[in-house]
Amino acid sequence: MSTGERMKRHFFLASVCLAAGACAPALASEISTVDGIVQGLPRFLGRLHPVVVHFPIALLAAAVLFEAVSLLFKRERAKPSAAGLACVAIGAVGAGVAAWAGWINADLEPHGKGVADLMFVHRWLGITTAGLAAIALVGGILGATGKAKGMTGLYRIAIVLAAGMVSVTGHWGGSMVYGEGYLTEVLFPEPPVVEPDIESQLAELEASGTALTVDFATQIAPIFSDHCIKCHGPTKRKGNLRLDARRYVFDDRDADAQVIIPGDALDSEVHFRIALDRDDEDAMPPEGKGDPLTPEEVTLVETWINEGAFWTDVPMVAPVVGVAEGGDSSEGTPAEPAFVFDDDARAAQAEAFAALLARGAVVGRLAADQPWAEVRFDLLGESVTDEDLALLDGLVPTLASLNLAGTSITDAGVARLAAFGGLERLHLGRTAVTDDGLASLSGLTELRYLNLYDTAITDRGLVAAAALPALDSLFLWQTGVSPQAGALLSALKPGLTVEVGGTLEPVNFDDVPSLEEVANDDTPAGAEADPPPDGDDAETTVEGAVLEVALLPDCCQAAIEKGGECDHECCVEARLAGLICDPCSG
Amino acid sequence: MDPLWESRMLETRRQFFGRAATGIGAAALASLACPGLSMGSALGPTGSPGGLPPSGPHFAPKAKRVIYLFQSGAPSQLDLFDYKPQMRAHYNTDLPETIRMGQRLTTMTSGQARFPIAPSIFKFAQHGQGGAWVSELMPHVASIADELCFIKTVHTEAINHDPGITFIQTGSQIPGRPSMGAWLSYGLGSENSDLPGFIVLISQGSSTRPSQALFSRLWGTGFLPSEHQGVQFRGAGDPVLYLSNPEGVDRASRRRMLDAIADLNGQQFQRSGDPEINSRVAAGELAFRMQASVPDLTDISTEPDSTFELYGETARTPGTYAANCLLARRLAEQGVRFIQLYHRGWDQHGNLPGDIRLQSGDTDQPSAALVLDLKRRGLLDDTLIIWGGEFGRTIYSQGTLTETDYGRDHHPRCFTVWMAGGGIKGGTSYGTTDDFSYNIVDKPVHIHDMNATILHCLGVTHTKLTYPSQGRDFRLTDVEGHVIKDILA
Repeated sequence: MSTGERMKRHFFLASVCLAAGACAPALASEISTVDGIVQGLPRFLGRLHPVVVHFPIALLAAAVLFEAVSLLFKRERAKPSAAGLACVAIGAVGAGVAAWAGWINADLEPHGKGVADLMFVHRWLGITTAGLAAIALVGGILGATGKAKGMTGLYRIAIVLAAGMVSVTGHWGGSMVYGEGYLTEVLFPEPPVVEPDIESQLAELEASGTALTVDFATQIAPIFSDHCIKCHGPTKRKGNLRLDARRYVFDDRDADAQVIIPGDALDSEVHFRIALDRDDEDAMPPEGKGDPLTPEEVTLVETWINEGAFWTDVPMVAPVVGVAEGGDSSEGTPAEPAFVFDDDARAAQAEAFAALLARGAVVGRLAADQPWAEVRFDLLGESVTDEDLALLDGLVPTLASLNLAGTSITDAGVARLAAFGGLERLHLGRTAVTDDGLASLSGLTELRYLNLYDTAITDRGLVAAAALPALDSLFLWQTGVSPQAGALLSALKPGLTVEVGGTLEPVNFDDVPSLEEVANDDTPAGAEADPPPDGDDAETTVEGAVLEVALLPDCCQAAIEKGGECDHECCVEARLAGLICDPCSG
Repeated sequence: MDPLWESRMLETRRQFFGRAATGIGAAALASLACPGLSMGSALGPTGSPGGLPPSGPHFAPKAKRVIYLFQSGAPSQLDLFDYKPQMRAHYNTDLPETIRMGQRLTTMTSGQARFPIAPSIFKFAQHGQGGAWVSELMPHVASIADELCFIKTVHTEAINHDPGITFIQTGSQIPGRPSMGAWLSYGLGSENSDLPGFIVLISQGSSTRPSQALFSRLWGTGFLPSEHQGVQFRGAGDPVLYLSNPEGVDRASRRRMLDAIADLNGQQFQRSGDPEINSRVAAGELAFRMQASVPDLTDISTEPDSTFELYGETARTPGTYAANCLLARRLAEQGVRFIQLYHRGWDQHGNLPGDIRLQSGDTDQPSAALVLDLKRRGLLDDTLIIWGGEFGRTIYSQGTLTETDYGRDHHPRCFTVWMAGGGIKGGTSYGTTDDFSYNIVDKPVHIHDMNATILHCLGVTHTKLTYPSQGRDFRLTDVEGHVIKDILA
C-alpha cells in the first residue's frame, strides 16, 4: 500500500469514526477496502436513523418535565431551567441528525410501495420536529441569557410542541416498520372480514318492501355470459378485468378501478361502455369480438346497477362459437377447467423460457399482456432434433406458436406436439415430417396456421389436415400434394386457404383497349378485362364435386354409383363432420 | 467532456435543493471520493433514462416484421395506380383554379406561365377480384393485385425531397427524430441476436435523371439508444464494411480483443454513466456475431434457378433492386424486424414516360416476386410489405407537353402507397382523389395515420411507444395519427 493510499484510508477511517462513534472500530475491521467504506457510507449513516431518534424522543419529553417541575417548585421563573435547556440542546442536535439520517435512509434503502404514504407524513413530521427543537433551543438560550424579552415563553411553547410532535413522528415511524395499527391492534382486535351476505341483504330488502325488478342470476348473468365473459373471464382477462364472479368486480381494495358502482349506473364503466354508440372506439363488445347488447339488455343492466347491483355468484360460461364438438356444455356437464395463468404457470413458463434460451431458441410472449408463448427453433437449423422438443414441456398450456422450419425433427418429434392443445401456429416446413406424423396432430383444435412447404406430405396427409377444425391457412408449396387435392380441400373447407405455390404471370395488356378507344367509350377501360367473378362459380362447384367423388374411398364411391350413401359407421361419421373416412381411404 | 459533469452543470435550482436535502455532507463526501456513485442508481444498466424499453408488443400482432420498399424520388401515382381517364379530354388545357385553389407549388414550376394538363399515356386495367386499377407499367404487380391494398389518398406536408423523406420515415420534417425502423427495433427488439433488428438496402434506379440524395440519418436513431440504428448492407464488395478480420487476426484473438475493450468500456461506464458506452459494447458484440452470420446470409449462390426466374435475372447482380428484394426475403426468414429498401431515381420532372418505364422495369417484377415468394413460404401473413414514395406528382406538365412526352412536379396532396401481408386486407383500394388526382375527395390518410397503422399491424399502440428527450415524451406519430381500421384484415 502506497503512502497516498494509506493516507486516504486513514482519512476515511477517521470520517467513519467521527460519524459513527463507538461502532466504527469494530466495523473497520470487517470492511477490507476503502471502496467498500466509501460506497457504503451514505447508507451506513442512513441506518443510524433508528439509533439517533432516541435522543430527541427521550430528551425533548424530559425537557418538558424539567421545565414543569421548575415552574412548580422554583421561585426563579423568568429563565428556563438549566436541566431542561441542557436536554433541549442535546435533543435538538439529535433531532437534526435524526432527520438528516432519515432522509438519506428513505432515499437509499429499498422499501415497499405500501409505506410511501406513511413515509411522506413521517418525513415531514420529522423535519417539523427538528425545526421546532431548533426554535426551542434558540429561544431557550436567548431566554437564559436574558438578552431578549419573551424568549422564555417562546421556549416553553416550543418545547411542548416539539415534545408532542416527536411522539407523533415516532408513532408514524413505528407504523412504517411494524405496520399500521400495530400498537393498538392487541387492544381492539378487528372483527374478521366477512364476505357480504348477498342473500340476507336481498331478504332484508324484500322484508322492507323494496322489490328488485331485475334478478342477477336469471337476467344479468346470461347477458354477461353471452357478451363479455369470452374476453373478460377465466380464459382471457382483457384490460385486467373479469366479470365472471363477484370478487373480481367488487374489489374493495381498489375502489377507483371498480367498473360497477352500485346505485350509479351512469358512473359505472361497464354501463358506459355497453351503452356507447357502436361507432365509438371504446364501445363494448368491440367490433368483431361479440354481438352488441340490445337496447333492452342495456336498460336491464342499467336498472340492475341502479337498484344496487346485487350479485349472486352463479356459474358463467361464454357461449361456444364456431365448430364445436357436440353440445355437451349446454347439457350441464361442467366445462373443462379453464387455464389460469397463476404464479405457478408463470414460473413454469419462465423456467422453460430460460432453458430454451440456453439452447439458443428464440422465445417470447405473443403480447406483453397475454400468457401465450411463441418459440422459434428455425434459426438453429438442422442442429435441432426431436430431443430438443422436451424443452417445451413447461409450455404445454401456453405455447401458441412454434416454428420448427428447417430443423431435423421427425414424425416422432411431431407426435410430441399433440400435447400442445393451445397451438395456433405451427411451422414444419423443410422438415422430414410425413403423412403419418401429420395424423398425430388431430388433437390440435386451436391450430389455425400449418406450414408444410417443402416436405414429403402427399394427398393422404390432407385427410389429417382437413380434420383440424380451426385451420384457416395451410401451406403446401413444394410437397407431394396434387393441385387437384389442394383444390378439393379448399372446396370442402370454405374458411381454409390452401397455398400450393403459384408462379408469377405478368398481366398481358395487349387485349386492353387503347387510350383512343377509352376516350370514345363511356365505360371505363378494363371493365371487361376480367370476367365477372360469379361466372365460373358453378363450374368450380361441379369440378369440386367430381374431385370429391374421385378422392372418396372405394366403398363410398360404390355406394354413390348405386345412387345411395355408404352405410359404414366410420364413413357416416366422417361424412357428418364434412370429412373423408380415414380408415377406408387406407 | 465528462457527461456527469455536464449534467451537474445543467441542474436546475429545484433539482439542486432536492438533491442537497439528501444530506449535503454525505453526498459531497461520497461524490468527492467516488463520482460514479450517485449516477449508478439513477441510470439503469441499459442507460435509458425513462425506464426500460417495452418488453413486447402491446397486443397480439398480425405482423412480426416489415419490409419497406421505399421508392425514393416520388413515383407518379397518375401513371401507375390512380387512373383518371377523364383527363384524356382535357389534354393540354389549363389546370382549373378551382382545383389548384392557390395551393403551394415548388419553385421549379411556380413560375410557369401555364399548367397544362398531361393525361397519362399508359393503358390501365382493373385486376383481380378487388378490381384494382394498375397500369401497363406494372404488369407483374397487376397480377398479384388481390394480395395488395392500394391507399390512394396518402398525403404529406412536405413538398421537397429531403423534408418529405424525413417526414415519412421519422414523423417529422426536421431532422433529428428516430426513424420508424429504429422505433420498432427499440420497441420490439430483434428476433435474431446474430443480426441487427434494422437493416437498410439501397439500389440505384435505371432512370436517366440524377437521383436524389439519401442521408444515413434517415435510418438513424435520433435520441434513441444508438444500437437501434439501421445497418446498411452495401451492394458491392463486403456487404458490411470492415466485417472481415484483417490478415493475421483469427476469430479467437478477435474475441479476446473485444473482451478486453468491453472491460475497459465497462470501467468508463462506471465512471461516467454514459449509456452510449453500452451501445458501443453491444455494437462490437453484434459485429462479432455478424462476422459469422452475414456471409451465409448474403451468399445467394445456394438459391435454385427458379428463384431467379421469379425475381428476374438481375437478382444475380448484387446491389440491384431485384437482388435486394431477394435479400429482403432471406432477412425476413431470419427474423430481422425492419428491412428498409430504397430504390432511387423516381424524380421525373421531365422525360417522364421514358424514365418511368425504366424505373418500373427495375421494380415491377421483383416487388411482385417478393410478395409471391413470401406468400408461398407462409411468411406473408406475418410480414408487412409497404411500397411507396415520399409524395406524389402533379397532373400538370412541368416543362413542354407533347403527345408522347411530359414531366411532373412534386405533389404532396395525394399519392398512392400499396401495402400487403401481415394484418392488411388484400384486394382493396382505399380512398378517392378528384378527377385531376390533385385533391382528396374521400378518406384522406395522413403520413401519421399511415405510420400509426403500420405500428398497429405490429401490435404496437402508436400513442404508447414513447421515449423521453429534452423534457418531453416523443413518439413516431408526434401528437397525431389514427389507425386506418378499414384496411385491416
